[in-house]
Amino acid sequence: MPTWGVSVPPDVLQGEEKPGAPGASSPSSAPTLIVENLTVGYGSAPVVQDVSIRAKPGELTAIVGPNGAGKSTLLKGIAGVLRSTTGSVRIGDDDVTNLVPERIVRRGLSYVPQVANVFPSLSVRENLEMGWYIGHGDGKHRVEEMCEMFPALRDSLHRPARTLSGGQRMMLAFARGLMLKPKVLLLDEPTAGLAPKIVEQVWSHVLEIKASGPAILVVEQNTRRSLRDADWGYVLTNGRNNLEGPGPELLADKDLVRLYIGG
Amino acid sequence: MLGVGFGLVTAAIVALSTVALSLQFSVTRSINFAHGELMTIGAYAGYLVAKHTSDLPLQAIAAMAAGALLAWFLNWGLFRPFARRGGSNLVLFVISVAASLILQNVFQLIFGASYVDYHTSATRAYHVGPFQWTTIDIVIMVVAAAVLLFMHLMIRRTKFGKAQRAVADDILLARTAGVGAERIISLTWVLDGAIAGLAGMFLALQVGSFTSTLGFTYLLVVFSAAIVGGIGKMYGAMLGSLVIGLVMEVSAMYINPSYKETMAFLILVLVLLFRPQGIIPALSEGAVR
Repeated sequence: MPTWGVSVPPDVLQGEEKPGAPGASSPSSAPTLIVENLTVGYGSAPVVQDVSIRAKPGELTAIVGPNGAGKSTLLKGIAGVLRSTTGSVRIGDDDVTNLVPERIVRRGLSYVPQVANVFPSLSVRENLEMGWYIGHGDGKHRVEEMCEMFPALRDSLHRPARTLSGGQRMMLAFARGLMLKPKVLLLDEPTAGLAPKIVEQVWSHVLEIKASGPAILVVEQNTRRSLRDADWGYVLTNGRNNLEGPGPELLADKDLVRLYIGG
Repeated sequence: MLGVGFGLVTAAIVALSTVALSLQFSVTRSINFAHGELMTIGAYAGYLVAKHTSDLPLQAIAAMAAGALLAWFLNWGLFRPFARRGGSNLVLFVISVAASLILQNVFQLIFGASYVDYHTSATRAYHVGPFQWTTIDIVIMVVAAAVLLFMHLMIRRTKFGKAQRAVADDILLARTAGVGAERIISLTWVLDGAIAGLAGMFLALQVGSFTSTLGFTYLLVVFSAAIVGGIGKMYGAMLGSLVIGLVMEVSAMYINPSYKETMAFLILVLVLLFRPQGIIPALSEGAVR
């Protein structure tokens, strides 16, 4: 397992063509992703009901909550993988409610699923190229920039993605999701199933990506870890909004921790 | 050695059809039992054009166009609507069996139940080393090799080919990356039909006369080659076709040629007994290879 050295050139994600470049984060900036009263479910049974979420550029927004609270379902509803029955999803002023996934990505949203987040038979380079599928011109410069951001990918460019370790796979999934410089990045449990040491490396990458500008919405099983670094956190229970607030403050709430996080 | 020579020609035809089937299967994940009819319609299209002109390229274009059109229609009219309504692969398979039977009867309605003759004047014999081939044999082998090379380059190098492999790997992830998966699938069917149509025309030229069941009776040979190579693997399909083609023709030199296809199934049974994952297992795990 190579070490995931983090070395992001400050301008990697600040290119001129960046869609809706929010620039450096300022806490008062308008939210990029606005989800209002969203109801999503499989078949007729709603899993997520009436949930509202906002994510600001350059900030890490975490959604936590017990198993089965509908966290992943919410992300799928936002990304267009599942259809919502009520409510709306906007990216800036752009209404993207219930657009199909291949349309939503064109509006500046990248979705990194929890599992099955790379194309196993494609090489690492081809995976990155798929991240640039709707990009203009060839994406070679972005592949190069991703290799600078995630140095271990460079040595594996010609390997099929299925031969990567769990941590490497997640790095590749991040890199693929960042190829188009999205305005919004949705991460579904990016550290699930990884060794503790790798978890820290993945988190440091999440923070690096955050510093580079997009609004990141992350769903995490590892509640403590995600709330510690979250600029804003939402607690979801039984598919509904329960509490929200700055991550560390939620973590300081003894009752909340006891009820929903444990220990 | 004569048998080997004939075997290479048969292998070329089988390979065209099998690679088309494998590509379609790996991208769409549905088994198309009406694949044989794509070959048959190609044969009839070549035959119809041959009535007016002996120009082989024109006949080939007609065969490819007819196959492509039918394949596009099968996807548009059957596979896609049923898949959208959540039809399982089994449902789609049964539907394709029905489509196969219906199409055979439609062909019979149009062209009659009796054999039609389909020949080419390109039958001059050549001796190449130990082999003996006619002009059309050589044309078939060269065209098949060119098509397979084209497919290889397309799958490996082009954006379309990479998108096909991405859809084969994970259609949902491909869509979230912006790939219009339905369009990729639709084009894959068209490509499948064009190549299968060409294979059907070549097969008809080889046997000289055919009926509405030309492709259907050949379907099991094609399935055998696909399974021997490891189903859904393009390069495996090429190798499987070579094995099946050679076994069929070489065996015909020694035993009654009407057992040719039985020999293909014998190989299929042996492979399923001893190497059910196909003869190139190292490249397992689905996807276009």
